[in-house]
Amino acid sequence: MSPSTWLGQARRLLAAHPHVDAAPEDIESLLSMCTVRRIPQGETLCREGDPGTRLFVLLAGTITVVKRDVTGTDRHVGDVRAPTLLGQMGIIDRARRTATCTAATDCVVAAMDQGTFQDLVRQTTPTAAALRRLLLSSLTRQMVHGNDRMRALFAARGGASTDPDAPRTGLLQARGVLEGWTDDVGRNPAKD
Amino acid sequence: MRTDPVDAARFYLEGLASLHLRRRVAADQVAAVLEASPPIEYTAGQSVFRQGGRSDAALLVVHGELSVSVSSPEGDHMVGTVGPWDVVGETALYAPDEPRSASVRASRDSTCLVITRDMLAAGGSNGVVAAIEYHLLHTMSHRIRVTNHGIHDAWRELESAPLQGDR
Repeated sequence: MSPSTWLGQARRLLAAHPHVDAAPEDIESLLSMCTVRRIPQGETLCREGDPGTRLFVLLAGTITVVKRDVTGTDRHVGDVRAPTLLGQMGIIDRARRTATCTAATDCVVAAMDQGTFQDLVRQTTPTAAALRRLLLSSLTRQMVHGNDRMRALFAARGGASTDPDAPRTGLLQARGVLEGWTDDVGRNPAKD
Repeated sequence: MRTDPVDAARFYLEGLASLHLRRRVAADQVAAVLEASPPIEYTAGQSVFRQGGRSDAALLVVHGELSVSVSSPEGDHMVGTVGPWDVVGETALYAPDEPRSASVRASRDSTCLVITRDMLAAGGSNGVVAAIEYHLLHTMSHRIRVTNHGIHDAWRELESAPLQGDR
């Protein structure tokens, strides 16, 4: 992907975060500080348990997310489509990855390393403000949608289910949304 | 002796900027934030906001203590308290259409700063605003991790008993 298309990507990213107060040029500047590379279908972007040393911006394609549950079983949490941030929890807290992300299609990913992130996030430039606000918007979405999923699970308790594994899948999806790995499972279906 | 709320807020913001930006900020930057968001005092027992209400503002607790409660069909449950350095209502900044998920009341005489997205947007080059945004990032990240660990622990307990759907 050439830098000339970054402004378009920036506009798409801002459209996905309508409450972020930033100019597309600020997001474009943010992307220019990243390393952009193509991830072929089937390649793993990051693995659960790895150090969270990079912030990803998925610019094109679809990533599939798998997470290990409390019994040690790997479960599919959902798919995440461009444009979106990925891996923000790990880079904010310097924590380990909590899921494994694999390219479901050929993808284009911009990655910002930990050093660049930690330096930029404390600055008072428009680019730094754009980064903080994109992250705040993403974390807000994680909290709101994750809580919605938990409320939906709680409301459904005791109900008849044809899938005996449905509660576990539901819990894992709620955690995946809360951790920011996917929004694919969406809001509480009753509210959609 | 009661602390002057503006002095308390100034001291708080200077500390917040030093902590997160690792440098001191100019006095006029602190003054600009205090002008845009004068500290608000709540007396013990006073309602701060109610569950179900809508707002685009978060509160930074400068001094005192607020209690947080959630209403459900089973009744009202106090879920915790917040004090100095804590934030409440932060999801309203970037999800202003979402209703408040809890009610907040002052459990002691308290001083807070009201943070709005407009205030943050207007202060993009202000170090204090950058520190507030950085503080919000870490507060929200911590809250997500605490919630997530709670789900994880509850799930582990559930695995020792049948989950709904298990036969």
